[in-house]
Amino acid sequence: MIFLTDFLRADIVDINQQRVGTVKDLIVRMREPYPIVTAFAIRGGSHLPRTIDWGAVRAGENNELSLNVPTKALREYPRADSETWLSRDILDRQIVDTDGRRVVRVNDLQLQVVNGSLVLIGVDIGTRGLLRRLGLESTGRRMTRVFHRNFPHKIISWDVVDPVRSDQTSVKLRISHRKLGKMHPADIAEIVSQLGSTDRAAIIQGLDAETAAETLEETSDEIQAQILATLDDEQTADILEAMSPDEAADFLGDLPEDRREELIAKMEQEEAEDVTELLTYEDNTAGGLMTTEYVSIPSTLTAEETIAEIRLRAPSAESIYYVYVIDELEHLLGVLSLRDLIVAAPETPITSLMIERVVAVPTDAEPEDVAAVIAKYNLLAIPVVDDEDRIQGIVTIDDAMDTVMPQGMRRRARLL
Amino acid sequence: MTEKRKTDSTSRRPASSLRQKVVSLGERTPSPAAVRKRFSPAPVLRFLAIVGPGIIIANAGNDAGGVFTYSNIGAKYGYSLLWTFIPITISLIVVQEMVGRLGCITGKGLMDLIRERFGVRWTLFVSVVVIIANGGTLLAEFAGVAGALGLLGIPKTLAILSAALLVAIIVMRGNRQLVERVFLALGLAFFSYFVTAFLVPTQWKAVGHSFLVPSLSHPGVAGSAFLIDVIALIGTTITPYMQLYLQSSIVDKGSSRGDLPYVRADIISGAAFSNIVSVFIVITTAATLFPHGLAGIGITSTSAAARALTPLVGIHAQQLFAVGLLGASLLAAAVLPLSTAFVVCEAFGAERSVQRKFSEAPLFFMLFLGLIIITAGVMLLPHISITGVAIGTQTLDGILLPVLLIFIFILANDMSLLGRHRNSLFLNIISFITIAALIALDIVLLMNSL
Repeated sequence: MIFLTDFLRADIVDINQQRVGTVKDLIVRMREPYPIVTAFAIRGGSHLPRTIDWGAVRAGENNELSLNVPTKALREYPRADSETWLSRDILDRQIVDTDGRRVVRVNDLQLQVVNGSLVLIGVDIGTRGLLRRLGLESTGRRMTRVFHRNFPHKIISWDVVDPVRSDQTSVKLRISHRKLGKMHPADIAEIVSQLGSTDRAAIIQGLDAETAAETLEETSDEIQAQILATLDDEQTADILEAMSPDEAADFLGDLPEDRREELIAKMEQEEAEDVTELLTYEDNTAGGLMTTEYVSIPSTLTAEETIAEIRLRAPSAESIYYVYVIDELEHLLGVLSLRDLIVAAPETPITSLMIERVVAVPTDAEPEDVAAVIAKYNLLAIPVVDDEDRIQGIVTIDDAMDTVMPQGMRRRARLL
Repeated sequence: MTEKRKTDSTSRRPASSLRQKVVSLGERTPSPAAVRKRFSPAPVLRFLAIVGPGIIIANAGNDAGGVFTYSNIGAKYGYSLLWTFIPITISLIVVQEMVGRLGCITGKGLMDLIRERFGVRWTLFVSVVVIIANGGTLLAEFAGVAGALGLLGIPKTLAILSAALLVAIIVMRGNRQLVERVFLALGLAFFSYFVTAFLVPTQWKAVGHSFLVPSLSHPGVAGSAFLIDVIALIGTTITPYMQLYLQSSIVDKGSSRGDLPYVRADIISGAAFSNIVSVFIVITTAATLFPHGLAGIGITSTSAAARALTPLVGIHAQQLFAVGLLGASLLAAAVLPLSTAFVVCEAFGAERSVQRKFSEAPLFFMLFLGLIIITAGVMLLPHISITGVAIGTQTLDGILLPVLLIFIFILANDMSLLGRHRNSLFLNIISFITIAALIALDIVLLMNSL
């Protein structure tokens, strides 16, 4: 196995066996699935180029990198924005292991020769990598042999890691967070909360607005506020639009009035209206908990027309398992489940399908009571009505659960 | 389908009553207006939200080691060393400002930055230094607990064992915020030094003189003993663990670039405030203990230190001192082992969380429990001097401090890390003088003791 540590500090000798200097770093070009080593940085006299093309390397073994050209012929390798220095930019940093869904630290990097070029294939995150860095790998091996244990490498493949990197240094690394973006938002949220504030922002910025919004919904209110504070207003507004209105309203509600209005003004009109409406409710009530994204239909429709209506509107609705039937003044007349709707004959009028005894809560109901009602009637969502039985929104079971589930239990859920 | 609807309608009560029942659930909390304005925090509240780490940490700085060291300085040297608080406070502010700035701009902990900037070898070195220094500080806290409970008539073995158990339980299971507040409140008993200083015949002229005219006089004290006391004074005021903890808590709070002015204000007010408390401890003990036989000898027992509060509360001085000492010691003891284990594990990328099982985070639990068991074990040794341990460990902190300061200094000058927020020349001069002075003191001490 070849590791970055084997190269760092290796002596460089030219074609005439003249010592040139030592290797300072390896430079890679980011590429899918494995980055390729394109050059190396050199520690030596001031007359030498600082970086040299990897093409000048003939062989590298036994702590020696031999070149296929004389020292005089060495030329500076042209710098590119997309280049990454392995030791400077990746070694010792935190990276995201998208397979294990956790944040780990890079102890060493594993390289391999593939088709004549050196590529980065893995990240060593284990004790063995640490000992190698300290020059104690063989001591460790001897120790484990004494205790009749094996001394495993703990390496994760490069194609499942996602480097976390904020744009602090001059070299800008554009990381798409493609791999991270494929993870479940709840897992991304878990990872984000383990990182420092600038790294958090860097990750969120690399995600599309939709994923970023879902991730933020899963993080704690404090982390959510922190991350959004580091983004510019346009980005924040885009993410707020993509968030469910109740979450967006929660966030906006904690902001100072002028800041809140600034952000709402930058949002699309439809989302802005939803959020503004939700902002009028107290935090700790059914109104503060509910979302305005639900499916409601007039009582005049048939089953078939209703399904067509859901197809049209469902993309923005948080929950479509219940369809609420309302009159022209938004009074709640009845409810039917998606199941009722699908199994019904197409031309059946909605009024004969719906259940008229709707279980609902008032806007000022306490979250614990809302959760209790949802649990009692085995519902997936419950409508929230005003004093005159007009539907204002729905509280979904997951939002209700969050309010009654103790903080510790939510954290422990990670272990499952 | 129809079947189901039938069950629905038969199993449920009449619509009106059901709706009534459910709707009435919320009516327990009558709200006069459906539309209520949301609370909007003013800038003042924003300040208060960020302020905190500095002041809390500064207060935690007046822990067992601090109280004993300051009492010792007052009792042994009278007012003559008060002037040292001026340069020490300036250094403390400069050091903490660097740490706070690093936290705000990079969003990373100090050990993280050391790992990323200096690699594995240096990280290991700093980790060992940090573990020794923090272990020493924790030892002082257990000494404080033993001393405090000793004044209340509780035997040392019982005191140490229950404190160690309490700390482990709080961290693993308890509501830390609540517990920390209780300890902090107990620690407020030390404010009684403020009042006491005005009740006793303090020679304010001598106090003023000491601040204006630095003196290095140490009647009846050997040169190396004097050096040890001064290093302890610095080590207890600018504790290594405080710097790590400060940066971690700033990062945890998510303070960023924009919060820098608030963070600075918090650090300056916290440092100034805590050192004023320290100064009053020295003044009080200088006025009460110094003239009564402790000059040149210093504090040799907990009850001797407690006697400084006699003018305020008479025979209850022992109890008052015990309460303050207990709170201050437990506050720091509850934070120290956890934060030490956390920063070290973070630097090495090891699993770290009290939510994990032992087998999932072995390094974390070994460090955390190891620190508690070893330090508590040392305190259980027979004939160990409580004041000796409390003050001696502060000297150890002072000796190890420059190591950490050098790393902070280099990081705070790093262009790629801080950009335009890196150290100014002025800050560099002060931090350089601080480090150089500490190293010089260490070297002189070393040469003196050879």
